[in-house]
Amino acid sequence: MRLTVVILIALLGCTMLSAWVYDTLLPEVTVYTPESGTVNGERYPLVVPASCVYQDNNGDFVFRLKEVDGKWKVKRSSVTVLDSDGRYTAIRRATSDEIQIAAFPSRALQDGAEVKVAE
Amino acid sequence: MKKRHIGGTAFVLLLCAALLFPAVYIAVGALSYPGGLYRVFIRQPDYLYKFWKNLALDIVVVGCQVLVSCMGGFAFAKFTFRWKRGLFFLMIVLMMLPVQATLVPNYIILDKLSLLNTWAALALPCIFLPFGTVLMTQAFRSVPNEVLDAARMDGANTWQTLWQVLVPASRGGVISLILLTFVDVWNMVEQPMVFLQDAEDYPLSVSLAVVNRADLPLSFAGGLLSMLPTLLLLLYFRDELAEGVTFTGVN
Repeated sequence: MRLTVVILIALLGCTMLSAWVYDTLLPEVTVYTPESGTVNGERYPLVVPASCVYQDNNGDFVFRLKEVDGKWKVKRSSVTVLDSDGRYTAIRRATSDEIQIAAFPSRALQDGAEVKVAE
Repeated sequence: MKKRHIGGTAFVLLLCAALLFPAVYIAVGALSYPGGLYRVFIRQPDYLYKFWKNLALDIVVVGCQVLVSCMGGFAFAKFTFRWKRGLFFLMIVLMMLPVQATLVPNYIILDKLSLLNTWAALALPCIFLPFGTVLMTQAFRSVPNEVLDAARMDGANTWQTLWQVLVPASRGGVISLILLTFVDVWNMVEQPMVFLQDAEDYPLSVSLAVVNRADLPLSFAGGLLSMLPTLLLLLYFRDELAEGVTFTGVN
């Protein structure tokens, strides 16, 4: 009986520790809503900080923020880069719906990963 | 004579080694891949959350199953009513059916009750499994009727006779029921895969079966976590379990 209780308490401790570690190590991002702006003297409808745009074998993309069951998750969303001045990048998306994107992450992001949103 | 004795011991040791091999292999495997232990016990709380949810489900199911089975067993063992033999035979037939055979009818019933995709879908079919009633009937039959008559003469009502006389007298049977139901619910794989759609709701047993093919460290550490409760229960109740199984088998 004593062994069972000790192991259960240890597992409870592990659960609390892992919940804390998981929460502490979650990447923290800032919510950014793309809006119209000027890049290299040209006006574009969607401008985002240049660091928000990533590139892989399938082209350019941003991480779109979505709230699922009370948790924030990032999802890869393909974009076309129109212009960039190093600080800001003008992008075009296939759809015209308004999105929120993950900006200035504290750690590298992965598609579908959970993130913390900075207050 | 001595030679036979040595041969028997060697055979038993070999059998023990064969039976213990998977558990020892998991324990050694988990310890040789600390990365998996780190992920399961420290880095990702998902597995431990599932562990506690599973444990809670298991405790609810075992509690309800003991309640239902003891009452059913009491009725079959100590009362006379019409169709008793036929109903008991039906119980045995239902007990013999494999889980897979009852999956579809259970699915239809749970769908009609709008209980699919909830943990009640996992709990309800297990609570009313006929196995418990059959086991408890056998256990209660071995308690002499004179004991019950004595209890009644002392003023005990039916409810008190069951819980204060019959159940303590059949302790071995009740503990066997608790252990076997616990292990059954803890290890279920088919029911969650059929009754739950969202993979995030899957209990630990299914999550391990789905996740681990390519991830050996995670598989070992998860296996160790999954093994713990049943191992502890079996160690704690090992004498009663052996007694209970023998006891119901003899009757």
